[in-house]
Amino acid sequence: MATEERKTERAIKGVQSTRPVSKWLKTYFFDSFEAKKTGEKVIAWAGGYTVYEITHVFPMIIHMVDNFGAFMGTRQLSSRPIELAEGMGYSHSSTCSYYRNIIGYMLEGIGDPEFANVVGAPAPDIVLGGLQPCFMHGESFRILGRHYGVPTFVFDNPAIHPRMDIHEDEKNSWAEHSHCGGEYKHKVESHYMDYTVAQAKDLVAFLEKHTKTKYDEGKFREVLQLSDKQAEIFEQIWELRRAYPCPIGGNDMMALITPQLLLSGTELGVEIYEGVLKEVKEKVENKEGGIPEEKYRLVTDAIPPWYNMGGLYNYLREKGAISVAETYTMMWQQRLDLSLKPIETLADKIMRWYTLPSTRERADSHLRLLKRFDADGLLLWTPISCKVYPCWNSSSRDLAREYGYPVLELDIDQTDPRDYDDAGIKSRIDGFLEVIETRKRAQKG
Amino acid sequence: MTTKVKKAYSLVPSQNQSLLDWKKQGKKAIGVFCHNIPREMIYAAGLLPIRLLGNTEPLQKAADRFRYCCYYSRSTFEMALRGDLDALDGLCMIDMCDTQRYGFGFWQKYLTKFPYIYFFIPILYTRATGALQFYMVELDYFKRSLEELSGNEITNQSLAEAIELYNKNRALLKEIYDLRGKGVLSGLEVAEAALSSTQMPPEKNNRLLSSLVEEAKNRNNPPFNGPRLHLSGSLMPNLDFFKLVEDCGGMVVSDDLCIGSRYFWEPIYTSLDPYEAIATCYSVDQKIMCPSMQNPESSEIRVAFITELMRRYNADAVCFVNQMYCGSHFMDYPYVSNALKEKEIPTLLIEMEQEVAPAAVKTRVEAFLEMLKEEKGE
Repeated sequence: MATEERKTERAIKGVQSTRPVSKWLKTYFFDSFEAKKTGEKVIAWAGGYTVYEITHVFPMIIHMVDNFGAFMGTRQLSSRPIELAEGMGYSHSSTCSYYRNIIGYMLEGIGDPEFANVVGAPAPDIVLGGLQPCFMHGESFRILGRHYGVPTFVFDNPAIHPRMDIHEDEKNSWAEHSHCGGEYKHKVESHYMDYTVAQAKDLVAFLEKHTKTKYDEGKFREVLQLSDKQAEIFEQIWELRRAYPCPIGGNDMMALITPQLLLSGTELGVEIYEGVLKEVKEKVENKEGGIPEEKYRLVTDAIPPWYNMGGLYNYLREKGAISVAETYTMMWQQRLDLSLKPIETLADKIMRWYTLPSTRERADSHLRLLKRFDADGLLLWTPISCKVYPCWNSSSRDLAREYGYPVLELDIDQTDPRDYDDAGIKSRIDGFLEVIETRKRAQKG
Repeated sequence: MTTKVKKAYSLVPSQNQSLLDWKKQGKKAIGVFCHNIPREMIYAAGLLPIRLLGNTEPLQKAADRFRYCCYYSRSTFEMALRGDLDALDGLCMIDMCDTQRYGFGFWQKYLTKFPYIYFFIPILYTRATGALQFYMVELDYFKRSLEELSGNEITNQSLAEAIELYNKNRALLKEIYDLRGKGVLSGLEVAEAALSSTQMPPEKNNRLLSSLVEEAKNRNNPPFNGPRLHLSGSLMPNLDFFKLVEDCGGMVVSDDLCIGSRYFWEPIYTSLDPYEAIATCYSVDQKIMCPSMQNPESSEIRVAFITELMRRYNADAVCFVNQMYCGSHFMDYPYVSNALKEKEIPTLLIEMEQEVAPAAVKTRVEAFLEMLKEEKGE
């Protein structure tokens, strides 16, 4: 497989302290090939739920498939595997491009030396999937497990029934949650907890069996404590983003997604966050922004077009627009309820993830960010091969407009660059910023 | 007879005579989005479940809703906004796909005219530990919501009666499918019959289907020798595709559609307590797996079901008619079609959006049937 030429520039970094993430990730990919050779660790391809803490208790290396899809996108490597998957019958319009990407990679990418020099994942020994983010996740992991003929674990995550959305102030429901991770704070009915705990126990048994290692509750408790500490630092970073100018924009925050997934519950994860917090604090003290001149504060959200992060964020930067908040960059890191038994803590985290609560809760999350981060408008990527965001975005758009915020929805695909209309998107961004500018002028009188 | 079946219902609820007759009796009805919502439970509360199927009308009021989602969800929302569903007293959605899960809030927010909009939680991974216990609690919430809407208590007796009626309906549909397999009924006639059962009170539908069976048994049709198709997919807003196949010289003789065999093939147990039977059959003992089901082997089960039906009805090939933007069906399609090809079963994929059988589809179906005719030596 030949790698493609880079089509776009890289995004200009606003902070330097996130650099260790990509360095670590490269080592991680290469280490995983080594581990596969020696057989010291079990290679798991995973995705679909936020249970990565548990994997640190067992001798295993996780390849987070969605994250891998995004990484392939940022490296401009996604077109070829996507085309391969489409050749197998995976529909361009109707299946997720993350999974077309990984299925195509699964067919031809592994073992190709040119490809593996850039990025790679050894074939899995086990597959861990679940329904938490979307329904295609469940199906995709069955496809991966079937292809490699390896044991597969599927986690069933029913939506949290909307009857549990009870607010003290129904009219201002958006204000009743935290603004960072772990959005869902309502009481979850006990049968949800029981069902999720039962499956978490099955997962532990599955991992014990396939890693030939006994579950160590004490070790898991330590991992959870580290994860919670990481979340606490993360909250502090987020709180600082409310400053004027905003010290760290959405593009830089994207780099912190990987640690949320793969390093949650590790010393390294804490160390990386502490480095970022230190730099962000200094920037706030020095009144230094994430971009040179902050004119427009935006909430941007959903899965971005990974293959053109530079083109897009540099364009926003040029125009003086910074993303001050996103749900997408915070959704995997949340404070944990450490008063519960470790398995229950894990189950509680799984149930409180963003995609499980009601449509209103999700729309509220955007309104809350707009208000708390004093944003001028909402810019939403609508990934065309995704089934989650087209619905979520429309509900957020409607709610934000009801509260007077300008909203721009841009149709893009997260990993498939073939549908990207650069000129059209820039022109729509121009129009959107003009609307914001006009409003700001009018407000000033 | 087909005319009689056709006249008995309409897919636009406000024009559905069976529904309007039901309403005239002072009874209520709810629209349902999936056959995995236990219809027996709804009926046992004295409510009529009506399967919503969308339509092919262009979108106006719902044009900017659910973009990149199936036309079914979008057109149903359009129908609701336009008033086509006003004959219904409520709606029941289900956590069966992303569009339902993430779209539910839209319905709640914009369709407050319905006194009842419920979100039903099914079990998608039937072998998960604790699945039945979880489902029982959710079923109880559903039961109470239906009792509140109808003002009627769902008793063991009313539930047992509903199970009996719908099991009879299932048995009649199976008999009708078998008659089609023998060439006595056409693909379109049988599809009409199956569809009618989703739109009418079961007693009335059972009478209609019984008379269809009796009438069909007296027919003396010559055997059908053209290409025999198995149709695989979810649902359709009309039966144009069945007609198209017949116009091109073929016949749909079997299916695994949500408005076909998937909806009625397996009866509800009568050996258990009725409530327990509903809970078990609709959750952990589900035998017909749709692509949204998440058991590790659910695609393999689906292939086995398709091939079983093909054998039973002597089908020559499989035609997949998938709703564009349906992630579940399209993720499942490559495995299922390859598994069938390995068994040397020819397959055709049709991607359906607004129209079910536009000219381009006709050309492809014609070509496919020509190929099958050649293979059959016609």
